[in-house]
Amino acid sequence: MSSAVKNRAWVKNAAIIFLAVMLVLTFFSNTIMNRALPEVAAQYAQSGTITSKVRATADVKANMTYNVEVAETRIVESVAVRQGDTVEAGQILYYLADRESAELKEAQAQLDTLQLAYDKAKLQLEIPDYTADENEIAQLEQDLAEARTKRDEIAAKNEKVKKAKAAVRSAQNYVDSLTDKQASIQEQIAALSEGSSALKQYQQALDQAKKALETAKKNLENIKAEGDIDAARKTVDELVKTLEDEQLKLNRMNEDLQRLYLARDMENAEYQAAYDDAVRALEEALHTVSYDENGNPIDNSAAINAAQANVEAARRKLGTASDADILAQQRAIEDQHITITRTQKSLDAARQELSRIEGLSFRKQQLESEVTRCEGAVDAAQNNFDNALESASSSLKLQLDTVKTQLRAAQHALEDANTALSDAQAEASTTTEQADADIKAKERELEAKRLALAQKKEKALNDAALSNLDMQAQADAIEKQKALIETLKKKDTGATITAQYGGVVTSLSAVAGDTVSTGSVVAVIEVVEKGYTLQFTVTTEQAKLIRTGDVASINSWWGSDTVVTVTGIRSDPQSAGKSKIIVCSVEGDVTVGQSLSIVLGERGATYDIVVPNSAIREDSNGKFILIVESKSSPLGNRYIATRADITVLASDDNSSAVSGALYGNEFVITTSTKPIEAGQQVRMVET
Amino acid sequence: MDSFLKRHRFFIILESAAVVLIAVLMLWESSLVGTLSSQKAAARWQKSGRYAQISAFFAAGHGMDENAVYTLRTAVNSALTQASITAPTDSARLWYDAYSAETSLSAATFRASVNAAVTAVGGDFFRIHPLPLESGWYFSDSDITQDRVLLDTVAAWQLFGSYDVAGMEVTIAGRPFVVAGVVSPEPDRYTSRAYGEAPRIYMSYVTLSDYQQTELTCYEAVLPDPVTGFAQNLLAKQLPVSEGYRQIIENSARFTFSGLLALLKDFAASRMVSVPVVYPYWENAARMLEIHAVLLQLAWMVLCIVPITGIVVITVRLWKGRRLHFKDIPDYYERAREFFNEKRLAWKEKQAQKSSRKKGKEKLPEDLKETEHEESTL
Repeated sequence: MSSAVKNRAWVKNAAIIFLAVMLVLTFFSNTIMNRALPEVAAQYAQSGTITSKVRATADVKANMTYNVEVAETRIVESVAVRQGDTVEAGQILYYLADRESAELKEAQAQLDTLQLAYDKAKLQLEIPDYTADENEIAQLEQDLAEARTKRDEIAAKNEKVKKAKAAVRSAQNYVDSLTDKQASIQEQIAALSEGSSALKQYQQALDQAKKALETAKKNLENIKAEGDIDAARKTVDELVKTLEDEQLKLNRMNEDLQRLYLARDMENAEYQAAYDDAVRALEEALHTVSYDENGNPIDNSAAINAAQANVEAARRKLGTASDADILAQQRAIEDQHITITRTQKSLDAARQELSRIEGLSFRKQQLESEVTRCEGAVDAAQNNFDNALESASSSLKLQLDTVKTQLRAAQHALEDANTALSDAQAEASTTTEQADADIKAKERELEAKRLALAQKKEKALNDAALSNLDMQAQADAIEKQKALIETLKKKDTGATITAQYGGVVTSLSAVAGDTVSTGSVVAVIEVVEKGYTLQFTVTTEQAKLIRTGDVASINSWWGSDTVVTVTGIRSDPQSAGKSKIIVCSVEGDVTVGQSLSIVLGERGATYDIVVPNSAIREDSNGKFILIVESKSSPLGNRYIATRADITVLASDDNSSAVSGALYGNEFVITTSTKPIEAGQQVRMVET
Repeated sequence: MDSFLKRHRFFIILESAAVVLIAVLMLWESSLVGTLSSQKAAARWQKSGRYAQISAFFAAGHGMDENAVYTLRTAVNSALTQASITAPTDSARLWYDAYSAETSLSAATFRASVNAAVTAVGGDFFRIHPLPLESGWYFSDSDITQDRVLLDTVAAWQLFGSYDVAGMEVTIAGRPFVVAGVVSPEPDRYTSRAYGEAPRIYMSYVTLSDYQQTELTCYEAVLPDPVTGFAQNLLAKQLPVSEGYRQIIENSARFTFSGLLALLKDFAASRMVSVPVVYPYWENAARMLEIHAVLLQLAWMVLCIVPITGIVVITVRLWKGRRLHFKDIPDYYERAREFFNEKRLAWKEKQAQKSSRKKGKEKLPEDLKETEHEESTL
């Protein structure tokens, strides 16, 4: 009976199925499905303008450039300017190295020869030397003067003779006086040594000293050398030694005596010990009772008797040690004492003797020293005496010496006076007439010499004038040659290349050490006064946007008043039609070489449908855009990407103008997270 | 059923595990292969797969220059015309190319100066390499002034300190350029290995060659490929660089099953470097990906042994346990014949009954004829 109980199992099944369906539907719901969809960004196509710009960067150049050329082949030494420097007209650009030319060498050689000739000529010029003549003349004059004076002096000379005679006489007198003086002094000296009061005390002292010396000597002689000190000493020493020996002997004897005492005592002790032993033995014997085999006491009276006899014997021996040796020893000792005393006495006597002798010798020494001292005193006294004598006599001696020298001098003077007298006499021999004649002759000679000298001088002057003219001519020639060399050098050394116009140096083609040949361009100067220009190449498409007269806008952050205007569009010879050269003029505050970034040709054209570049796609069927079309469904809005084919009319950097099957207000997909295809469902970016 | 499962549980577990693993590996491989967008330009251009992307890399010193590219374009155009391959519409392009060169320049702003690796590009480079943009948009060959550059995130960060710098000015090698946008390298791990850490700037090759002669090291093209190998052969013939100094790779075919299988067959030889070419980072990333894909493919191909063996075992078992045998066929034939004969006879009897009811004895020769006709039709 299946229907008795209501079968509700179908509810469970239905619920399960229902839930399964719900689960499946959830997976198809938007939320989950959307997760898997690519997300897209889209924007509306609208009308807009497409501005195509041409951007270019170029360096400013000057309108006029001037090429600096070299006139002849030279080597460049150094470059004075750098590329980019502004130079003025006449400014040095290059320093040229010095050049050796043949002309210069010749000219220098010529100069050398001329100089040589000139120097030689100079040396060969005679300088007239008149010193010999002049000397002669001077001497002659001198002689003349002398002769004249001589004549004047004749009278004087006679006077002189007289005077000379008088002088001789006086000299002679003087000599005589001196001789007398000398003699007197000598007498004085002689007398001095025989005694004078000043010397008396010295003499006395000397005598006293001599006397003392004699006394001392006498005393010394009186002392008798009594006794030999050495022998006495020796005796004393021997006696001391003997005394010591005997003392020793005595000590030994005492020791022996002690030993004897000891021996005796020992003997006595032995006896005593024997006695004690005997007594003991006796006692022992008395007290010992020995028994024989039967137990009967043994009779030891014999032993006892023996022992008693021993004791007696021992007792008798007690204290009987012989002291005969001792007595003998004691006597010996006494003898020894006596010997020692005797030796002592003799020693004392010897010592006394010795001291006496020593005393005597001491005294002798004293006297000897006294003698020596007296002798010294005598010597000293003698010295004093001699010194006093010396000093007394020395003054006299000094006087004597002085007098002697004076005498010699006086004798010399006398001799001279004699000579002078004889000379004067000889001199006064010539007479007045002779003198006159002599003078005249001398005068004539002098005149003649003077004349000769004057003539010589004149001649020399003429010659000098002539040679001066020649030398002048040579000097002129040398100067001319030097000037020539200077001009040649200037051409060859220190030459420079200067800029004819001022401007900015844009290129330097030679470096130090280069050889530049004639006509080569070594520098290019942009002359800035003629204005600036700008040139750059563009493609033909870009050139289509540019027209002459366009004003370019300049990319610069600072506001500048630079104006760039297109002045011409030329075809580029290097690229064969693919590009053109745009030439612009630049006005304003610029420098040559400055880089300007300009934007040209901003022409905008309006188009109906303009989309960003990122919206345009292409595949094998051509260019297309993807449009978002929304379809509303019961499950919400769904967005489908649809394809629309387009053609691009114009484009610039960011957007393009398109045309196609479009209304102009489509929602165009620009970017997406994943690649999408036409017909694919997409979801929009949540903004 | 339970006992059957119990008896064959090992087999079932093994097979199902192998199948699951194979599925996982295949999924993994296909997801890996899809990470490099620069290798899928042909698919983006046309989904149907009749386009191929070819890359050619040149050895240093033997690269192309701009004029060679123009000549090559003309040559390819004429070759395509000769092969009667045309674009589907008038405004569509039939094919496009891109070329790039690598160099290094210093870029500076007021804030900083960096030494950046510069990839100078031309053609539709960013169509083949759609780098993710942080800001701005790519520049293109059709810009009026070719002085825009793309900075990568490292360069933008160092030069400006921000990514939102489209439109600002940067000085590269002393010349002013405008930033068109900021790109970041592709986010997959192969590109991040191959990209390097130096800042990178993308600029127009035409602008670079105005003041620095750099030769092109890479030429890529997306060409129609009506038959397999057509595009590659076309480019190989037209390229002006001789064979010893170039390397041509078909990007669209290298990650397919057959492409990876070919690589697997020649794996050891593919390690040889006989052409002195330095690959740009995207090619290095692709080569890394190739190795991973090849390993995964090898893994799941090897794993396929398990299901195949299982299927073979099952087939053999079923065959062995079959109730129909070959030797039974003649029996079947006989039985079928008998069966049909019976059926026919029964039918004939029915007809005979029907006709005997309607007609009399005149039906006899017709019956005979019908019988003959029936017999012949049997």
